[in-house]
Amino acid sequence: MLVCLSLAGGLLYTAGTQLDYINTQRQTMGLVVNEPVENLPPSLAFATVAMGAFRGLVVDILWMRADKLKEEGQFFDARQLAEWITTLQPRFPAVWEFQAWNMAYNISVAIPASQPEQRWRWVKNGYELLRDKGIPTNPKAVQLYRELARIFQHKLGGVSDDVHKYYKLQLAEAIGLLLGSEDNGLPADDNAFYEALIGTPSEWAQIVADPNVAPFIRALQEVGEPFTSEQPFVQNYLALRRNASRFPQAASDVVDRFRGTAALKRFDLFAKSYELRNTWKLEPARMHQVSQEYGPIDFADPNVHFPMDWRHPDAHAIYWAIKGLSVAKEKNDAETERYQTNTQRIVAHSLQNLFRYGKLIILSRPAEALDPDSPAAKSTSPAIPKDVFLSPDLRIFNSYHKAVLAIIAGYEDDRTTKESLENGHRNMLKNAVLSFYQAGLRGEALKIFNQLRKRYPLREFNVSLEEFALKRWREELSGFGIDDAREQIVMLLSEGYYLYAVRDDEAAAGREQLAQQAYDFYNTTNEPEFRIDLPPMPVLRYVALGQFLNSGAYPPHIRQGLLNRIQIEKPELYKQMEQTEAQLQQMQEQQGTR
Amino acid sequence: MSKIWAIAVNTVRQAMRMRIAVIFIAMLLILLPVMGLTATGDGTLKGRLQTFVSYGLSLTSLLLCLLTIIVATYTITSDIEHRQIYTVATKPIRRYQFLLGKLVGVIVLDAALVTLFAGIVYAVVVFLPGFHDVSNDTLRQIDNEFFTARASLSPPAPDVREEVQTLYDQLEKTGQLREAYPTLPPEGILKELTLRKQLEKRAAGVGEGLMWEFEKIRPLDPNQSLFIRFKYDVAAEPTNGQVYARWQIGDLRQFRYGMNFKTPIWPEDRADPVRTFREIEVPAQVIADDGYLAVGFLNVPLNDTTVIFPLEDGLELLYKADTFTANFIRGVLLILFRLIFLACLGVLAASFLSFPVAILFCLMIFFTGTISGFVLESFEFLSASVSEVYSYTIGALVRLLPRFDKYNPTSFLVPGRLIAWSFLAQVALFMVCIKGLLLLVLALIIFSFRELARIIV
Repeated sequence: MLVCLSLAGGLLYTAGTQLDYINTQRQTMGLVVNEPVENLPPSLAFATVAMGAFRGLVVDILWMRADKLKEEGQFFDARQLAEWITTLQPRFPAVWEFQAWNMAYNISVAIPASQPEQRWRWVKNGYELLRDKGIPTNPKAVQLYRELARIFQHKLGGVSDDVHKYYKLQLAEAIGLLLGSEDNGLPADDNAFYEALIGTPSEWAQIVADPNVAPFIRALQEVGEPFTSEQPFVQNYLALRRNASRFPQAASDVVDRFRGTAALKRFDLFAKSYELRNTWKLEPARMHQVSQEYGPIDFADPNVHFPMDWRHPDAHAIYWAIKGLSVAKEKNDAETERYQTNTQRIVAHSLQNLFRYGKLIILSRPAEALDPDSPAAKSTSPAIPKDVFLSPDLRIFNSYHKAVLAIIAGYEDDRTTKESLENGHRNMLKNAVLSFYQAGLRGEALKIFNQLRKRYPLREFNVSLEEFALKRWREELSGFGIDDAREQIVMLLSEGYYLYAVRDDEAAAGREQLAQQAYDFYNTTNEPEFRIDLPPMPVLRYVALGQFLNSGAYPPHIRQGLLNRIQIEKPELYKQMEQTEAQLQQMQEQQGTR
Repeated sequence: MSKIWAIAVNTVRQAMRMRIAVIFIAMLLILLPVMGLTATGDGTLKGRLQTFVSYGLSLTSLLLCLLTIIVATYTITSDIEHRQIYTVATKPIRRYQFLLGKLVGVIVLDAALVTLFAGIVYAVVVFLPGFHDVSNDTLRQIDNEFFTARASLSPPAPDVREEVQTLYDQLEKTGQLREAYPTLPPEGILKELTLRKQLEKRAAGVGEGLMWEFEKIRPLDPNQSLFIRFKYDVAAEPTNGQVYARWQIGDLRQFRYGMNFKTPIWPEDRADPVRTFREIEVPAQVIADDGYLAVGFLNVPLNDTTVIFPLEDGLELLYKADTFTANFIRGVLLILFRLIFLACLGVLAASFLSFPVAILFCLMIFFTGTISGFVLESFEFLSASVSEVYSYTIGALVRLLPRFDKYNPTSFLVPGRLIAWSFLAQVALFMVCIKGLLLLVLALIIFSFRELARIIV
């Protein structure tokens, strides 16, 4: 008995001496939450207090299970475990951050690329966990905004995932319905649409109380299910406008009866702003503000910003990064500062991405485009009915430039960060000069080139714009890794045909011009190592078109669409192609008879 | 025997009169069907089935384990504390018969309950797909990956002893051994070199290939699929995190005799993420008549990095070796063995402890056995000296207990892995026949010498 008591006393004393150290570690690691828990849902509030001291034990067990299953490559339970862990540790931002990252990055890629819909579900689970639960529970945690922005920017907006186009299509299709109002004659690329959204009531009670709108709501409610209560009402209204066949005919009749009235116009705007606010957690006022600061400009008047294309993941990344930065401004500690720098980088990178791939073109794939014998046609899993194409949006450059200069200005005292930001900025300016030059916007290219020379006075910039562009372009060409000039030119032309097929005529013209410049350069250069005998340009065009039309990399309907377009819009080119084809056939026959 | 059986029947009756037993049984009767309806998993039907089996069987096992401990200890201690044992002790019943009767009663009760609840879980799992409108592709996938019992074959570790010894001698001769491994003893160095050489055999540089050969594969149904489960590691991280590869699976010996193949060769070009388990589904017809199968991997030049298959779990071949039902029954038997062990433990604890102390003792053993894997694994993260102290003290004690987490049926049933009869026999031998029996013998000895008239607190 005495031994036991002495042992117990000794252990108690030893444990007591460790307490201060443990408490200090808890503070250092940010495991202690002293801030009062506000606005927690009852379920979370209950879960955090009901288990008392056992909460930590349960969380440990759940973490261990989640980690073990992940190690074994089993993910059937990951979402449920993430929900439980975050329920038990709602005020620990790292938990939300990790679980979202795990779902969006680790679990999604564990699913084969042949099942894009399954992969997309995990990516969506990841960003929804942060957006719908993590951030509302921890509104001051900057790292959660940064992580959410990063998922949008890198996972959805990037090109590293095999099925990144599927993600982009799903996001664009889901939010695209909410952008623009046909009833009000306001398209998604009109600032007036967002101004109208800002002006609409944000609460259901407000719209119901509006005497102008109430008759429409009542009329739809009289149809009965599914137009009886608030949230389903709004969602069902939007679904009705998208696909009326899924609803009773009476519902479509109501819409038809109110078509053109102020009631329908106002309700349509309300429904869209309501859905943006409640489902997407996007505030129209902030969307408008982001557009006005970072949106594409009008070349005719650079002070005018068009709305962002909110179908693009990078627009969402910028929105959440900006929201996180506004939170960071309110907090002022070392940890927040670290997250702030990373969040600012996300804004800069997203603007860069928009410059490179900001134009989102979605083309419907005709049914006949699918080979009936192909595995996709035989599969019962959902196939992609549409194709997504990305092309540069040069109108973003000004916003990028302005934003990055502002970010750099904030790091005058931090030489390392400043230098790293400036390196990125300088490279971007160099690329922008070439992009604008190739697009035929020489004035813009010169303006950027002058800015480049002024800010970074390096010897390599002490040349004319033409010389610089040519040099950059040569570097680009060498980057292709193809030594054959003929192949380079054909590749550029082929890319131009693709851009023409997806109706990005501006970029297509740029590629065409670039190909011509390449041709002229190789034909006329004084440098013997570059002098190459090339076939005439029409022959190269013909070869490039043939290459494009026979390439399996482009869907058949896109290739056929190009041929139709050339035939209708450029009959002279089509005729020229036919002549070239005839000449080539003749040449081949002659060679064959010899 | 009739005396033992009489006590056993009486024990079952006594257990059924216990409120806690009724509560546990009612909980399971309500919770299992509710879980069947509410378990969502990852949203897919396969995920729902996996989640339900995982949580359904785990809950059944947990509650029945607790119930077994409670019933086994209570039935003996209450007889002693309430002095009912005096009336039994005066009858022509030996003490060992009394204890064995109690034990048999608890085991019979366990067998009945585990059959009932496992039956509910099985019924829900089998009928659940019928309530879902899913495509034939999904059903086929579930048949192949869940309603199955897949045996696993891993390539044996390559024999590198000679190469290692040569390298060791060479390093020693040139004086580089101590330079490279200044702190390791000779056995440690040999171990390191062996690992290095084995990994070299599992690594493919750009443009290089690897081949693994398997023999005596007998799939249950040659018309079904087999799976190559693999995980890549890489020397340098690829920019998009993907490894591109060309696989060839089949009887690759046929290449020696031209291109007229008797059994098909399955080629597959694919990109897979690093450090993530993936499976290649291959028709079982690729297996040669003599049960031979080769798996070829080519590290294509797109990768620009060496690809390594980790030694432990880098590659394995999975093929259907039995039905889900038979596997499920073996899984249930694993739970029953656990319950039998706990019943023996409860009997032992009750033979010399009072009820609350006996319960605490049993629970401690049970929970330690449940997390034994984690406890033993955690020693690896401690410093060498502390780890050694722990592994010879706590580790030794933990190893004496049954590894409940290692013999968890859900870890087999959820991924559709075969619970082999040999594995089951091994568990029965160690958990029931050796450890359980030892506990029982100990209990019989203690109880034989126990003074029943004195109440022990």
